[in-house]
Amino acid sequence: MSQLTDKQLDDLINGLPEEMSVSPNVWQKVQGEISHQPKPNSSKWVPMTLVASLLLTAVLSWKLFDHQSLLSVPEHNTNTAMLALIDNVEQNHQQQVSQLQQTIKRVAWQQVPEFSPFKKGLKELRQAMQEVINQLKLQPQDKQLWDLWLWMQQQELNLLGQEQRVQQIESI
Amino acid sequence: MKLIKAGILTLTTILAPLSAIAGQEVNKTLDASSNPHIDINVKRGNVEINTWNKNQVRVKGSLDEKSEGLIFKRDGKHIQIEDKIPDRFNGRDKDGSQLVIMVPTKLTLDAEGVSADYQVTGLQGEISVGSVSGNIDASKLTGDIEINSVSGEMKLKGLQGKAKVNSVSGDIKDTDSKAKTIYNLVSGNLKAHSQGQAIEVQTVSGDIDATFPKVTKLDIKTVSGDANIQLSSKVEKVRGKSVSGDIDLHFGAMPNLSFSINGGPGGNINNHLTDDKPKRSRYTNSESIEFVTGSGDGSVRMSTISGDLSLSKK
Amino acid sequence: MLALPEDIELLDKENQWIALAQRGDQQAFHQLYLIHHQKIMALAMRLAGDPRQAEEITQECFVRLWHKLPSFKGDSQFSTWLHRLCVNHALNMLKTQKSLWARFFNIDSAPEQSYFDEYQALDKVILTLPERARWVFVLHAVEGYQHNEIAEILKISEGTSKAQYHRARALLKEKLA
Repeated sequence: MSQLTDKQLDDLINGLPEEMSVSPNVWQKVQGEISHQPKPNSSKWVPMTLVASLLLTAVLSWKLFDHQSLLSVPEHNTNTAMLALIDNVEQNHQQQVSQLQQTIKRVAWQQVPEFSPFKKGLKELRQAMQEVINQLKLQPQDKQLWDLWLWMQQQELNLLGQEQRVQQIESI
Repeated sequence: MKLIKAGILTLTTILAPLSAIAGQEVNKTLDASSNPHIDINVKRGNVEINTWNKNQVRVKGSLDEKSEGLIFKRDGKHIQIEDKIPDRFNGRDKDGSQLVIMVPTKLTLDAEGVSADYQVTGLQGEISVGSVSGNIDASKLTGDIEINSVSGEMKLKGLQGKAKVNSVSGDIKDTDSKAKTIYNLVSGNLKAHSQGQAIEVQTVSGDIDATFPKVTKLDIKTVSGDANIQLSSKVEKVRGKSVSGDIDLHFGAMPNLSFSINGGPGGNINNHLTDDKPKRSRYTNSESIEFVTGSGDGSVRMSTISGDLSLSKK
Repeated sequence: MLALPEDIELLDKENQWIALAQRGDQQAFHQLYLIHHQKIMALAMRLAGDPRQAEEITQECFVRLWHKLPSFKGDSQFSTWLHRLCVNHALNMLKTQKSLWARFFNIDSAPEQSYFDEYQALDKVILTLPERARWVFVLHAVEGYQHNEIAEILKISEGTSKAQYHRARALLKEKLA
């Protein structure tokens, strides 16, 4: 099996271009954004805090949902911890939602017809999410419910991101 | 007449944007590199994008009634096409641009509109077409495809490669596709007949009516939309989740699958594949069922909170 | 290393533009954009593995730069500061975009075949590396960050960074043979 040598690879690396060309309209978009938003605006991409990520990783790892091992743990303790986790995750999600919503210019946006599919979609999604949270609080150890809820949170954030994007396109 | 927004430097060579009178006819051709990156921005009207065998791009038709000028310029492998109109305008498409754009077959395309309708055919490469309320007709596209619309209708035909189709309230119709596809809908409905092998569908309240005869991997997530899906015995893996929506899977022939279905606290399980009946759990008061068909090589896992999950043959 | 007279002149100009841009001068900011945008695009392209995303990332990095510019105190080299800001922002964007599932289960997805013939052989193959290995490789071998810096940026251990780097080299040597 033939392979490049280390020196050959290093030579190739040294030969890599340092620059790549960019569409002319990228600057136009940058300028559009810095003109429209005089206040420092946090990125429209909202990263999860490290703490929330760790919590969720624990939830999603199969170990926590192994029914055999759960039966040997005093149910009260696990449940309380899980209920606290639900509140934590919900808080974190709402933070992300309000961060995204801050960037959406409410008044002008609500006048345009493009608003209504988003309004309808978000309303339906949020109503259903409340249903899921209620169910999850009754069964905090149900992995399917957790999966469902987390997916719906992502859908809500996606929709808000889309709303913002459409605003940009429509120059609202 | 403003040609360029103040402060923007055009980086290099080539033609200054056309100065044009609104509604004016245009017919302009530019040479293109092989595999160009083409950016198209037409806010309203109609844009047809077709391919030809030349390393050239041609824009032909008439500009928007409110046009401030056609930007059609090249910088290396980038080509920018924009019918510039003022920021605030009515979405009256009959006043909009009416353009036919010829492009090389292999390319990267980024086409965007507000109320503009797009018809795109025959392209190969990385293709992205998006319109807020415009309708999108995309056919015979091959490669890495993304189609986006908020409220417009999407008609897709003959897609190949990889496709992501996103809609908020617009309906999606997809036929003759061979692509690995992800459909993302909010309240729009999906009608699909696809030969794709790996398919993912996500919906909030939109309904799904689909036939996927070659699919081996299927992932469905729905909040309240109902999904009615025709499958074959080729299926190897299905994951289905619903809040209150119904998921109805029909298998053309008896598949080889292990089923694990959770009916949730308010859901119903209807198994017409075998004689197995769901059981109600002591702990959770939800129905669930586990059974095997054929050799049981593949796996189907579905769960709902209050929807109906049904499995049947044909 | 002696700086050439032209370099000194350009540096002086750049400092002037930075000062003006910090006060909100968009034309001065545009000059900064012209100097640096193509390097940032190369960085974004190699991290994202996708030209469309790379352009979005480049765009967002400069928007972020605009907002963060007042906090640049001149105590480090502007290009280094700018670069680090863009690396962090690019990775934030890429990490958030990944579906919740992929992120938590750490699914490495190698991007599909690139359609760009202009890129050098090595660049094309870099695009096919699994994401984590690619990020480490690009940051270390191409952009010159040390493993301890990469560990901080990616929130992994220094050992993982070294391991991913060697994995990337091994894959590249094989694919380029």
